[in-house]
Amino acid sequence: MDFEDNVITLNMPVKKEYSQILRLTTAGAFNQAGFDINTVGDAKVVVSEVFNCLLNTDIVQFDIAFSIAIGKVIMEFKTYDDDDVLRGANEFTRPLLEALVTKVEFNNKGKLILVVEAV
Amino acid sequence: MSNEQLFLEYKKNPTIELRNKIVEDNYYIAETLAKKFVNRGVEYDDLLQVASFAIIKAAERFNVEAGNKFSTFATPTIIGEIKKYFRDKAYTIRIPRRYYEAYPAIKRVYEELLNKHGKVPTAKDIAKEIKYSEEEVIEILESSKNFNILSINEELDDDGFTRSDVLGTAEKGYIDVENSEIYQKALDSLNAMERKLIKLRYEENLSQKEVAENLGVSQMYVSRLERKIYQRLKLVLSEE
Repeated sequence: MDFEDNVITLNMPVKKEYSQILRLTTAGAFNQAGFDINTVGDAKVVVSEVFNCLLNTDIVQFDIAFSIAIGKVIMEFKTYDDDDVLRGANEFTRPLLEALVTKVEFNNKGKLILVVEAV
Repeated sequence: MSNEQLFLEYKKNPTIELRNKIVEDNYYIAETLAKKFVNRGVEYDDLLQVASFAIIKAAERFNVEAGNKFSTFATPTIIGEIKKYFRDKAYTIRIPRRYYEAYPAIKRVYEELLNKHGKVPTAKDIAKEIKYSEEEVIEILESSKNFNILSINEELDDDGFTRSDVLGTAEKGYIDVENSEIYQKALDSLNAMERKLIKLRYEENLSQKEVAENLGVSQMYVSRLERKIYQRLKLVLSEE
């Protein structure tokens, strides 16, 4: 399975009622990549945390792309106007993300990249 | 006293009272993080207990002079312990027990609503009737596909060919031959006296006292010899 042909992109409004769509899509993506049920659960905690950060801001829309391969998923969060995705983060957000994913990357255009890889 | 001052004081004077005060002041960290892992097959109270132990550990190890905030230090420690708990206690449960138990209730509500309104209910309709969220209802229905048990009597074609016809069985004869070979090898490792003791005790079912009379030795000797034989047989059999 190659990343190139296996990218799912959602363009989502930052509204509380859509967190379910985000969590279920995340579960589907991680399940497809072959992760166990605990890692699928961790991934849902991660996307909910990022989504909550967005809810704390005036950002109205964002993109999330899941690049899926066996044993690896890359999640890329991107806002319009290059707003920092984690602008609404609290004291737990960054350490929580770092504890639950393999790699956390930020770029200067507000994009947040989370990589989860099977050990 | 601020958090930082408390930690500095604790460093100078590491008493249980000061540590408990730190834990109490920062207990919200454990509560916040435990809440993030609910609805995954482990009760909140259990998660909070794990998080509570972890925050105590974190408080004891935290070095305030390193310049980090305590929450930054404690978060990975607590999450690590919660993840470990999931791995150790919940890993083998592929479907969380409460999901498994909830399925019949969801099915019942589904049928009640279907009969009442004459149309297929939504996850939202079902969630309203029971103590689960919409998302959980969707997940339970999805996971229910994994806990249906297939019948071995189910006919796979029109000729009465069932699943049991294609299932293999363990041939007991192979196991008996294998066991008898191992048993013989174990007995061969014993001397004549020891073999006789085994024969009297386990083939003729004599008591230790009766064996002792038969062999002309004390019961104490039989008891010790039996223990020695048992250890040797255990060793030989474990090598097999």
